[in-house]
Amino acid sequence: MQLTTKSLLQETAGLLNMLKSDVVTPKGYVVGKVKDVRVNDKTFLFEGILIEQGKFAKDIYISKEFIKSISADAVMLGSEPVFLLVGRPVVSYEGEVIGMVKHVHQIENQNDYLHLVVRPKFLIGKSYKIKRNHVKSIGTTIILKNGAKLDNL
Amino acid sequence: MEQNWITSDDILGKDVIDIDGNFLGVVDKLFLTADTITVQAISIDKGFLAKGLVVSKKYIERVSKYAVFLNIKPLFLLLQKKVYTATGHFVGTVVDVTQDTSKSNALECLIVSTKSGKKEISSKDIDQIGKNIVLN
Repeated sequence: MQLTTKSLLQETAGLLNMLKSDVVTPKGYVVGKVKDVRVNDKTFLFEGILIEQGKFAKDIYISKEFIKSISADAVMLGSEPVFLLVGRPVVSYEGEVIGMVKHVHQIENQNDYLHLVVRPKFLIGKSYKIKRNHVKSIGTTIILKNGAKLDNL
Repeated sequence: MEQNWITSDDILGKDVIDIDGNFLGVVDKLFLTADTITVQAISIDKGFLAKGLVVSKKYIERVSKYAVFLNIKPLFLLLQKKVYTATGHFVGTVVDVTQDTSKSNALECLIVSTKSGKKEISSKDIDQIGKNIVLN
């Protein structure tokens, strides 16, 4: 039995180096810091990371499929996580701010969503549900398509 | 009167939203050519103490009931953005931008303030621009 293989040592990275490093999206948004590195307890393979977003925000688990690269500086994600849409203003096709994203109904195990739950402006009235195909563009704000339907919750 | 005509009142005071959904300010002036009386540009009031901005009509996507939508993202919005390498190493913060003079609103390079002083980064080295800037 071989205890050490030099080439394997060079091809692998120390997981502990990842702890406390920033987690950055492709567009440069710093999601948080790596709090924990998760390894499968049967296969011993690296499975994902737990991200600490701050004192008052929930920790987030990100699977290895969404990680593009790991370096001494940061963990780079391969795509913009949909949970980052929470808190963004939602603007109608006509340019009126209709509210803010309260919740993203995510498709299980995918970085995609079915609909957004939008809290109305000034918190007056019920929240709306907006389907994914009614969203025109996503940037600093979310702009809806012409004739987008707002379903009351 | 033509059905698709609008008046200056329909534009002045409206919010201006860029292609990324950023609210830039409100329309405070219209610029017209003296001889043909056609609108050439709009001026945006970015708020108290902020320098105004003039946007040519070719960058206006549409005028809607509540806002004027642009088809560009103005370069001044890159100021103060953080710059990271492809591996996530923090390079510095954008302090100035230079424009490609052959094309309007085209970025030529970023002037980034780093620990070792100011550094120029060409637009060719930029991979993504979003909340911050990530290099190739």
